[in-house]
Amino acid sequence: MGRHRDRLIPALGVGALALVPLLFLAVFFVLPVGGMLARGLYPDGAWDLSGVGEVLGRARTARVLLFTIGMASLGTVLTVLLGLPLAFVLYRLTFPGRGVLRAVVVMPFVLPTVVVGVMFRALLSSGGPLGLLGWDRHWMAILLAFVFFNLAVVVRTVGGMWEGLDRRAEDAAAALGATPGQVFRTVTLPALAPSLISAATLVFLFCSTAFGVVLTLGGLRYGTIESEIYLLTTEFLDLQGAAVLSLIQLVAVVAMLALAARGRARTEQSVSRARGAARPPRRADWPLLAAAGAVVGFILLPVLTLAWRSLRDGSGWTLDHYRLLADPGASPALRVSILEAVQNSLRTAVDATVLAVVLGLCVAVVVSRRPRASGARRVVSALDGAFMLPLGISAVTVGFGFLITLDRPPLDLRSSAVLVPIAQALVALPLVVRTLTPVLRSVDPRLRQAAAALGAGPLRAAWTAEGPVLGRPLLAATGFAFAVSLGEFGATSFLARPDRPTVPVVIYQLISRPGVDNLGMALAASVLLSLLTVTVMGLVERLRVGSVGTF
Amino acid sequence: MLRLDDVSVRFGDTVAVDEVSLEVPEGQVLAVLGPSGCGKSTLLRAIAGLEELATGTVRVDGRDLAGVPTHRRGFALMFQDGQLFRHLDVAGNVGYALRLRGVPRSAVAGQVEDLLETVGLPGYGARAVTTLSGGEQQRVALARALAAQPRLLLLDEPLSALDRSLRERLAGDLRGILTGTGTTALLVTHDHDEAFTLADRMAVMLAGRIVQHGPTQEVWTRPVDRQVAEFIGFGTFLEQEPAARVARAAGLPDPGGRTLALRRAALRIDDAGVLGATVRGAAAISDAVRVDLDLDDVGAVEALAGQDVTLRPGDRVRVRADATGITVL
Repeated sequence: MGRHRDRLIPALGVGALALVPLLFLAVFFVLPVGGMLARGLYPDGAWDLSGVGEVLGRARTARVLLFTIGMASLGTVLTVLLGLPLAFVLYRLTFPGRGVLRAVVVMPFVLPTVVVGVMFRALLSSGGPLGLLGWDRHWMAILLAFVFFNLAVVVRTVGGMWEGLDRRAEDAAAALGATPGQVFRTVTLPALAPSLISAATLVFLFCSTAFGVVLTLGGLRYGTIESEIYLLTTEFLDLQGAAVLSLIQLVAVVAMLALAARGRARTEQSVSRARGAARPPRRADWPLLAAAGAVVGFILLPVLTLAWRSLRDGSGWTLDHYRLLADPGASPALRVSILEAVQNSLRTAVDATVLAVVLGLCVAVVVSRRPRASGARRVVSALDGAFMLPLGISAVTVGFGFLITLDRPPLDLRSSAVLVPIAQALVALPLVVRTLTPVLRSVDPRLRQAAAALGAGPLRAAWTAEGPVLGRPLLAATGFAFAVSLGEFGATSFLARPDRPTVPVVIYQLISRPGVDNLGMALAASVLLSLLTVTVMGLVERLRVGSVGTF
Repeated sequence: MLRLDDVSVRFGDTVAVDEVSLEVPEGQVLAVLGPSGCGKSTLLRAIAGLEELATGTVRVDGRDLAGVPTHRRGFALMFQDGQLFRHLDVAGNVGYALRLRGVPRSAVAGQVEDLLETVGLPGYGARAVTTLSGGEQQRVALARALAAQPRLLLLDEPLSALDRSLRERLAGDLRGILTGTGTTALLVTHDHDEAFTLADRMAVMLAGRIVQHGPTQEVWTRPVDRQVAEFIGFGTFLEQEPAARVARAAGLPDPGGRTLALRRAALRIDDAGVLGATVRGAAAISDAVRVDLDLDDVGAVEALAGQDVTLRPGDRVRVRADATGITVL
C-alpha cells in the first residue's frame, strides 16, 4: 500500500502539472480553431459538408494548393542544400569567429516575418542592390525569404546531430577505400537522416504556413493556403471555404509534425556523444568553406541592405526616417507614433513570455518523464505532439477563431488587451518546450534514483537531479520566447486594437501604403525591431544552450 | 612492410607524436603500448592519413605515402567500439569495402559469408548491428576490415571495451585470425595483456615518444628504464644494499650501483624462502593474493601469495625471490 502510494503521488503531481497547460491549449487553441472550423462545416447547428467538395473542386483552390506545395517543396530543397555545407562548417570545423557566425545564422529565424519581408523588398525593389533582377513582388522573392528564414532550422538541427557524430565511423569507411564523396553518401548522410528528415519536415511546414512573408512580399497576388484563408475570411467572408482550407492545413500539419517527431525521437536516442569531433579546416575543405561563406553572405546581404537603405533618401545620407519614429502624425497610415508601438510590443511580449515560459516549463517537465507503463508513455508522447501544434497551424485561423469564439460570456475577451499576449504565447510555447525538453530528457534518470536512495522525496529528488541543469536553458527559452513574441505578426494582426498596434503591425501598415516616407519609416522601424530581437537572441546565444532552435 | 621515420604530429603548440620511427615487417603484428593520452591513437590516425604529419615519412614497401589520401592507402581501421554503420545490417557492414570496389552482388554475398565464418559468426548476415553484443560487434568490425584485404590493419584498442573473459577469448581468436590470414597489423593499446597476446613486437610510447621497441618478450622482461618498467607492471624498485640482498636471494649477480626492478610475482610467500618479512596487508586479486610486506633489511615491497594462505597484518612469513620477475635497469 505504502509503495503503491509512493508511485501514485508523483504520478498525480505530474498529471496536475499537465492540467494547466492543457486547459490553456483547450481554451485558446482547440476552442478557437474548432470554432472556426464549426462556422464553416457545422453552420446553423447541422453538418453541412456539401461545400467541402465544392471548395475542393474550385480551380482556384487547386491553384492555391499547388502553389503552396510547390513553393514549400522548392524552399525546403533549397534550404537543405544550402544548409548542409553551412552545418558542416559551423559544427564539424573549429576556427576563430565560429561563435559569431553561428549567431548570425540563427538570427533570421527570430527576425519578425514582416521585417524579413521588408528586407527583401529593400533588396529587390528598384533602387535596391538587386533591383535589376526584377524580382520585387515576384515569387522568387518569397522563395528567397523562405530560405533566408529557415536556414537556421536546418543548420541548428542537422548541425547539432553532426557535431555529436563520431567521426571514427567515417574514418573507418575512408580506410576501407571510400572516397570523401562515398563516405558522405554511404555513412554520414544515413547517420544524419533522422535530423535531416526532422528539419526538412519543419522547414516544409514553416514554408507552407508562412503568412507575414508572403503577405509583405507578394501582397495577395500569390495565393498560398494561408493567405487564401486570410482572403476568404476577411474579404469574401467565405467561412466555409476558409474552414475547408484550414482543415486541409490542420491534417497536413499533424502528419508533418508526426513525421518530424519520429525523426526527433531517433535523433535523441541515436546520438552517441563523441568527444571533439570538430577539427581545424584543411585545404580539402575549401569548396565547403566557400559555399558556407556564400550562404552567410546571402544572409547578411538583406540585413545590411535594410540598414543601408534606412539611412538613405533620394539625396543622400539622412537620419530623417529615424526622427519620424517619434512623431505620432508622421504618416496618415498610423494612429500612434512608432515609439509608442514599440512600447506596446515590449509590454505584450513580456506578458506573452511569462505565460509561455511558465506553461512551457510545465509541459517540458511532463513530457520529459519516461513512465514504465506503455499507456502512460503513449499519453506523454501525445502531449508532446499536441503542444507542437500551434507551431504549424494557421495564425489566421487562430486569430480569427479568437474573434469568433471568445466574444461572449463567460469568455468575452474581444475588447480585452489579453488576447494579443495569449496568441503570442501560443506561438512561443512550442519553442520553449523544444528548448527545455531535450535538456530535461538528457538528465540520467539514475541521478534522480540516487537522490531518492539517499532519502530525498520525489519532488526533492527531481529538483536535485534536474534543477541545476535547467537554469541556463530556462533563461535561453525566455529570451527566445521574448524575441518570437516581439515579432509575431499573423495572429497579432487580427487581434491588436487599432489604437494599440505592435511594431510588426505598424510596419505592415506602412509598407502596404505607397509613398517614400512610409517606406523609409518602415525601414527604420524594421531596423529598430531587428536590433531588439537580435540583441535578445545574442544574449541567448551567449548562454550556449544547444537545444535553442533545434527540432 | 610499414616503415615510419621521424613522424611527428602537432596540434597547435602541443606535440602529440614526437619523431616516432618504427617498422612493422610483412605479416607481423606490432603493438604500440602506452597510457591514455600518450599520442598512440594520433600516431595510428597519422599512419591512416587522417592527421597531417608535421615531420617525417610513412612508407609502405618503400613508397612514401605523403599526399596519398586515406581511401587510397589500402589500409583498414578497427576501433574499440566497432564503429559499425548502424543503418546497415551485418552483411552490409562486412561487404562495404567490396561494394565500393564494384564487386558483383553475388560474389559479395559469398565472400561475406566466408568472412563471417572466419570470425565465428556464421549466418549472422541479416542481423541488425544494434542487436549484437559488444564482442559480436567487434567480430563484425574485424570481418569488415579483413574484407578489404588491407595491406595493413590498424587496430585502436580493439578489445578494450569488452569484459574480461570475452576479451581473453576474443584476443586468442584475433591472434589466430591475424596470423592465419597473414595480415600485417599495427595495434595501439594501453592494455598489457592485449598487446602481449596479439603482438609479435612491442613499442612502448610515453608522452609522444617511442621509448622502447623490440620483440614482445624482450620488452616485457627487460624494460630500458624506470618509466617503462613502471608502466609495464614493475611495482618495486630497490637500490644499493636492499637490491643486493634480493638479488642474492634470487640467485642473481649483485646489481652493483644499478636499480633492481621487481614485479609482484618476483616475491612469493613460501615457507622455504630465504627472506623474512612482516605482513602489512593483504588483498585477494583474481587468481592470487596480493600482499604488502615489510621485507627484513629491505623495506616495503609487494608480493604474491597462494589463495590458500590466510594472512593478517603483523604475521611473520618467509619469502622466496624468483629471478623471472626481476630485472636490472
